[in-house]
Amino acid sequence: MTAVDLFGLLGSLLVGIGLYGLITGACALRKIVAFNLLGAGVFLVFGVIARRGAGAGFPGDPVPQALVITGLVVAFAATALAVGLLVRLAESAGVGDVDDQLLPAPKITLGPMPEPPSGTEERPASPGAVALGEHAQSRVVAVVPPADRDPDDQTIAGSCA
Amino acid sequence: MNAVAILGLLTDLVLAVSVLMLSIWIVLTPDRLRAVVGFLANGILIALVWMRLGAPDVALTEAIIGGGLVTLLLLGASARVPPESARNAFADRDRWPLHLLAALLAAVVAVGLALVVLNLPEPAPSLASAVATELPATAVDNPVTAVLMAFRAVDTLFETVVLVVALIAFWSLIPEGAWFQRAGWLPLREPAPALVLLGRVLPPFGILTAVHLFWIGTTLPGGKFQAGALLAAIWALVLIAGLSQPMAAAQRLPRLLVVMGPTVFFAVGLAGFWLAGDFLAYPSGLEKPLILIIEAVLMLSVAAALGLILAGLPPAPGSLEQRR
Amino acid sequence: MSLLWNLFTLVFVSLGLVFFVAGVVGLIRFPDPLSRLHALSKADNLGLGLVILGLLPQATGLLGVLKLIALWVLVVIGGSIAGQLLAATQYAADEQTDGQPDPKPGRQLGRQTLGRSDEGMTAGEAPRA
Repeated sequence: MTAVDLFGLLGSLLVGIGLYGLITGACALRKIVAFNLLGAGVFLVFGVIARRGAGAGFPGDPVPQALVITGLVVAFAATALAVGLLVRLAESAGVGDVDDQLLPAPKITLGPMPEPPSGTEERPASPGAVALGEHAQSRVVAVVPPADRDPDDQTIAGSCA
Repeated sequence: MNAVAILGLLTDLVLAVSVLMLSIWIVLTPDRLRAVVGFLANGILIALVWMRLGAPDVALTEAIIGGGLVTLLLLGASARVPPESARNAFADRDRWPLHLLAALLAAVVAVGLALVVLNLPEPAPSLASAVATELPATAVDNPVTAVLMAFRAVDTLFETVVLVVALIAFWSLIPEGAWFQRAGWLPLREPAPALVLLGRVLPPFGILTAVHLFWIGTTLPGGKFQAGALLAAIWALVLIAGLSQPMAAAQRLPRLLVVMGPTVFFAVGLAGFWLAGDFLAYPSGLEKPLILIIEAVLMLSVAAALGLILAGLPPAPGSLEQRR
Repeated sequence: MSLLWNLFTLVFVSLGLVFFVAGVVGLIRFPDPLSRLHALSKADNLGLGLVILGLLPQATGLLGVLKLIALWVLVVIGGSIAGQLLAATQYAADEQTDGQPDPKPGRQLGRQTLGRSDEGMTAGEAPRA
C-alpha cells in the first residue's frame, strides 16, 4: 500500500459518499454540498493519476494537475448557479426548500396546524406561481413547526425533482 | 523502508482517514449549517492531500476556491433559504429502502472506481517528459503554468469563457426590476467591530499576496486562478464588513473587467496566426511577456467574475428580503 | 553549526506541537464553546509561534524569514478576530437562551444575521435599515 493507492482509495470513497449524499440529501443545499464532495473525489482521482505520472523531475504529471485547476474553477461556477437558483426559488416561492421527501406519515400530519386541508384545496385550483406566493406568505409568517409539511411542498418537489 | 517514509505514510493515513470521516459526517449530520462548516474544514484537509500528492498549485486552488469561496456561497445560501424541516432524511423511517438502494449504488460506484484506481496501467502513461522537453520553449519554469498558458492554452481560454458565461447565467436570475440595484448577499446588517477591523487590516496583505502569487506563478506554484480567487475573497471580506458597496449588474466597470481577460487572451491567440503561424502560438522571444500580460489581465477578470458571483443577487422588489 | 540549528528546530517545533495537542484536547474536552475557544486560540497563537520560530533557521534567505513571520502575524490577526466573532455570537446566544433581551443583536454572526432569513420568518419586523 503506497500513499498513491491510499489517496486513490480516498478519492473513490469520496465519490461514493458524495453520490449517496446527492441522492438522499434532505434538502437542495445538502445536495449541493454532496455534489461538491463528489467533485473533490473525482479531482483526487485525477491527482492520483497525475502523481503516478511523475517523471522528468516533476513531482506529478502537470497536465492532469492543470486540468484539475480549471475544473475547480468550473465547479465553483456550477455551484454558484445552483445556489443562485435555490435562493431565487426560496425568494419567489417562499418555500423552505426543494424537498423531495414524501408526505409525512399521517400521525405527523395531525399536528397543531390545520393547514393541510386548505392546501389540498388550493393545489388543484391554482397550481401557478401566484398561489405558491400567497401560500408562502402564510407559511413564512407562521413560522411553521418543523414536523408540519403540507402537500404544497410536494408540488414544489415535483417541479424540481 | 526507512523511518521517514514510514512517518510519511503514517501522515498520509491519518490525513486520508480524517478526510473520509469528515466527509461521512458532512453527509450524515442533521444540521445543514454544520455540514457547510464541515465542508470548509474538509476543503483545507483536501488541500493538504494535494500537497502530499505533489501538486502545490492545485493545493492552493483547492484551499482558496474549493474550500473558501464555495463555502462562502453555501453559507450565504444557508442563511438565505429558510431552514429545512428538522427531520433529516436519515430519521425518516418510511424511506429506508431508497436510502439502502442509494447506499448500495454509491458503494458499487466507489468500489468500482477503487478497483480501477488500484489497477491502473503500469507504467503510468504520462506527459511529464513531453512537458519537460518542451518547457524551455515557453520560457516559463512552472510546468503547470506552462500547460495552462501554452500547451493547453485553448482549454484555459474556454475555461475563462465558461466563467463569463456562468456569470451571465447567474445574473439571469436577477429579479425583474432589480437590475440597477446592488447585489445583496454579502453585507451584514451590523458587522461586528472586530470584523470591520479585519476588513481594514487584511486587504493590503491579501492584495500583496495575490500579486505575489501571480508574479511567481511563472516559476513557482501560483498563478492567475489562485491570485484572482484570493482577490475575490478579499473583495468579499470588504463587502461583508460593509466597507464598500457591492456592484450592480448594470454597472459598466464590472462587466468590462470580466470580459477583458478572455478578450485579451483571444486577441493574443488570433495575433498568433500571423506572428507565429497558428492560433494561440506565441512568437518566439515574446513568450514570457505575452504570458505575463495574459495572466495579469486574466487575474483581474477571474477576480471580478468570482467576486461578482460571491456578491450574489439583488433582492427581489417588494420581497421581504428587500432592504431600504 | 547546522546540527545546532537543526536541534533548535526540533526542540521548538516539538514544543509548538505540544501546544497544538493541548489545544486539540481542550477543544474536545472542555464543556462550553467559550472555554473551547480559549484553548484553541492559545494553541493557535503560541503553538504556531513556536513552530514558526523553530522553522526560522531552515528558511532560505531573509525573504523566507520575513514570509514565515508574516504568516504568523496573519494567523494571529485572523485567529484572534475569528475568536472574537465566535465568542460574541456565543455570548449573544447564551443571553437569548437565558431569556434576557439581547443588547446588541447585530453582533451575532451566526445564521441569524449573516443573511436576512430571520426577517423572512417574522414578517412583522421592519426591513433592514
